Amino acid sequence: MEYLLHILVLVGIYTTLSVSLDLLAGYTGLLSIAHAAFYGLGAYTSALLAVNLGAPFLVGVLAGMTVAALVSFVVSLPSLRLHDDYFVIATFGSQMILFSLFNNWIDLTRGPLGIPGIPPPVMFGWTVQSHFEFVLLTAVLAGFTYLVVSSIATSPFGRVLRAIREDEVFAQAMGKNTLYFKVSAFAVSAALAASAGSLYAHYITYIDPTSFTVMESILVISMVIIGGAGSRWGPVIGAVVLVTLPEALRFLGLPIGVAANLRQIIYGILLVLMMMFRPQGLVGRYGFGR
Amino acid sequence: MDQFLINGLISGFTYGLIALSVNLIYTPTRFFHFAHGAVYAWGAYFGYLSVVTLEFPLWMALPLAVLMATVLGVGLEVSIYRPLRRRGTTPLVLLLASLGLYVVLQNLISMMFGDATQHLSAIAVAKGVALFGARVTPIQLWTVGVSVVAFALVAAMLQFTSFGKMMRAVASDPDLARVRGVDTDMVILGAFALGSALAGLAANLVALDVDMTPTMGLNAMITGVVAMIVGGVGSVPGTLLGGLLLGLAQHLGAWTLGTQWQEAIVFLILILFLLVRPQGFLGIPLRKAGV
Amino acid sequence: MVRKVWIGIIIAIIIGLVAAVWIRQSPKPVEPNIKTSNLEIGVILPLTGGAASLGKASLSGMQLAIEEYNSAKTAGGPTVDLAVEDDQAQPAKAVAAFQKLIVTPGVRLVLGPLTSGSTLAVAPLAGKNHVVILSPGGSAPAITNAGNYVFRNELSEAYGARAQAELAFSRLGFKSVALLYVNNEYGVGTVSVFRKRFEELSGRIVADEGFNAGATDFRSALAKIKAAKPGAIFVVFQDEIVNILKQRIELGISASVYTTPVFEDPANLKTLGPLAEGVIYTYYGSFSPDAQTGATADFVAAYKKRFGNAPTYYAALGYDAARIEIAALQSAQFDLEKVKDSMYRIRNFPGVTGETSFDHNGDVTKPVSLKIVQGGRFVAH
Repeated sequence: MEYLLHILVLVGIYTTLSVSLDLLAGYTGLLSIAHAAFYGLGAYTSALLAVNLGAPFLVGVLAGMTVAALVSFVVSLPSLRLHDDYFVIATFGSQMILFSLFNNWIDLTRGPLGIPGIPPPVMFGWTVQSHFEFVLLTAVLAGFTYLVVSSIATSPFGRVLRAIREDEVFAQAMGKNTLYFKVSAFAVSAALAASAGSLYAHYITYIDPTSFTVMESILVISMVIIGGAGSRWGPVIGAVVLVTLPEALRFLGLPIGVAANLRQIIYGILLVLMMMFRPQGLVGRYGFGR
Repeated sequence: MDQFLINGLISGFTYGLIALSVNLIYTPTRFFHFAHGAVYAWGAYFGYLSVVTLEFPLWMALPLAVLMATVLGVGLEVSIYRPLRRRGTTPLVLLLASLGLYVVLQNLISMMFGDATQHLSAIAVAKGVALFGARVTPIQLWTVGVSVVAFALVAAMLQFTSFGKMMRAVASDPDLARVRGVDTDMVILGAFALGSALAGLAANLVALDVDMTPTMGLNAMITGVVAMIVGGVGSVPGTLLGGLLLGLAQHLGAWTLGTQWQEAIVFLILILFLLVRPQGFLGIPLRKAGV
Repeated sequence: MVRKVWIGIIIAIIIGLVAAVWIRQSPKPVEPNIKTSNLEIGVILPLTGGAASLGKASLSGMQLAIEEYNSAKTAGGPTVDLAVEDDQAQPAKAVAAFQKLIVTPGVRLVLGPLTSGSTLAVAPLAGKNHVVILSPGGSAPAITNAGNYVFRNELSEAYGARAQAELAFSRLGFKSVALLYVNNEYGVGTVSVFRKRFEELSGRIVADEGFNAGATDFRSALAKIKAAKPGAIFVVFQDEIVNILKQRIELGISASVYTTPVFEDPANLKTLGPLAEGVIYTYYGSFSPDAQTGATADFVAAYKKRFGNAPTYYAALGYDAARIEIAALQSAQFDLEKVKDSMYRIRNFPGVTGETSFDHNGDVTKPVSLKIVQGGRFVAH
């Protein structure tokens, strides 16, 4: 049973990631491949605060979100002047640079040695320890993220984001400062990803840079796309499918030496098939220009 | 110091060759074909298959590997990208599909050949040749030579052959080119064939020099993309310039900062160019927001 | 409408998957403490990714040990099976694998993880769930204090790399050394202990070059090292040694190469040929694939017969790790609650990598010796 709870925690963390990325990718049309880097920023900030300074969990989460939002401004600077595939490449570059910092700034992050012994989250006298309690906590976080993103999406602010996605020049012509809207969406998205990172760090109790690679970013963007970008439930469904599918494949008795590769191959094929036959995702409507 | 300059230049010619293959495909199609990285890696592993498994001599094995890489690249275009394009999909959808293809193709390599480094050459290592106070190996010299010849041939092809002219026409305005009777699908197919062949060639030269791993493709592809952006999309001399800049910067960075920062240096240059001069050294300005 | 159908399909798939997992789990009986019929030992090793060659060798050693036990076991003892999971040498994957193992076959004993990062990530869970883990290869000093349930069969770098520095300075007479190491928990951990001890001995570190795991081009790093004119290059690698040695010759560097036990893999001799000549490395324990007599020779012969190639150092570590866990099980009379205590009671276990005893931190002590490649063979230096 513990194992199913573990999967549920992962589903919650990835739902947070994919829903928060959807604000940027689905609603605003900015396909970022730097999401894992912001996820990592959150994980590192709260892990370092907890291990070195004994900071409480919520302080770590808020600090991680703040750091991610600040870094997102720096990343926005070159990225947001660009469009479509150039934006993708720019965020790819930011992802690689931030990963390089996690890996090589050894004095701060301990680099590849990783940070062990991250304590369990404590808040309001509640120590989150059992799997079941972690499921509750991640459910709260994922629900919070969902509410934030969907209330932004249905607000006037969200309508401007969609206008930018459909036609940025038109949005500008309507007198909207599109850069302001894009930078804000980027910061909110990054901060929410960071909160998932904090939770991940305190759950696994050990972090190192390998959890925050560009491949992780590609996985999260695939969740958004496969589920359905810019739709209410799409990113949630994408996260559920892409987390549970590989775990379920574990039980099919694949030969152990190739199982990891086969799981990747299946998700790659899934992504290609979706692009060919259902680019708007399983439940989505918006298909990046269709 | 001399050693770093020479190493940087040699790496630069390799990056240039990869960037040229990327540029050939990007210029008429205008989407980032990430699976090109996998075509590149497969090129090296095709070489491994022909040399180590089939035991062909090198002069037969290399053309065979390049041919197989070409077939793979063309196969992706015909079976995946062309149907997508026919449906009028955007570059982003093509890019996402190519990311999926990359994941599939790279993991196929891991499954079939394992993740450990594979060696193409039976090792006959000698002290390198002295050149301007640095040491270089014959393979490195070959790489530079092949790269220079490839650049000259591609530049001449684009300038003087009718195929090259059609390609430039498609690159500058696909709709207009179609109206004027240019078969855009044919041109793009040719670009994929040529680009994939060059990628296969570059991969085998690299593998002869420093061996191969299944993940070699993504880095090569990204370095190629950065070199292309730095040099300028659609510009052949710009691409070579971009490759040389990256090679020199990487090796000088390794000299001053340490080798573990080499990847970060590439992307810092990318971000710098995107900020200051997104069209690259010799490129035409980027299109603005679509209307 | 179409949308509703899709949602329905998705929900059906999810319910199906959950049900499948459930059904696979449900036959699990209430776990008796004393196993008499069938016992599963969990295995967490990197079987894909950069450290796969080490993990696969280790797994072969473990399989051989289990097969030998099963065919020789006396009546009454349970049959032992291995439940194998691949962690790709990634800590987060190791945690997921561990979570799965303790639930669905319900294992209480784990062999692995192999790499230090994964071992440290799994350690707190091992303590929480009372699962004994025995890492065949984790060498980071931090594993020493990772908890009561964590054992390892490899020397801690706190001792190993320290001895490497002492041997380099005193026995080999290297007064200045350049460091060239893989930029991960293994490389950085080893080098930091080595540097500290070497400088205490008044040796000089003249260059310090890290490279990312799986790197292939070392020319810049080697050129820097060449300019620093070291007495020797201390190389800590996982899979990268071929290109390092090749490019060292190409650049005309004459300094000796001094490296770690990972070097002793017959595949290296085969690929490197004459390039391997003269490489000096430290060796932990007493395993030798060339042993002519005794238990080690029997192991080498049995391994060759079973897998068709000679066992590596990591195969021997895996073989010993599996046999140690079985010995602990036997002395606890297969009472899973008592395995941890009987692990601590293991004294002078006659393994093929040397006599093994665990101290109160679950660490082992092994002799550190020098070896060298001469005439295409690994020999004592």
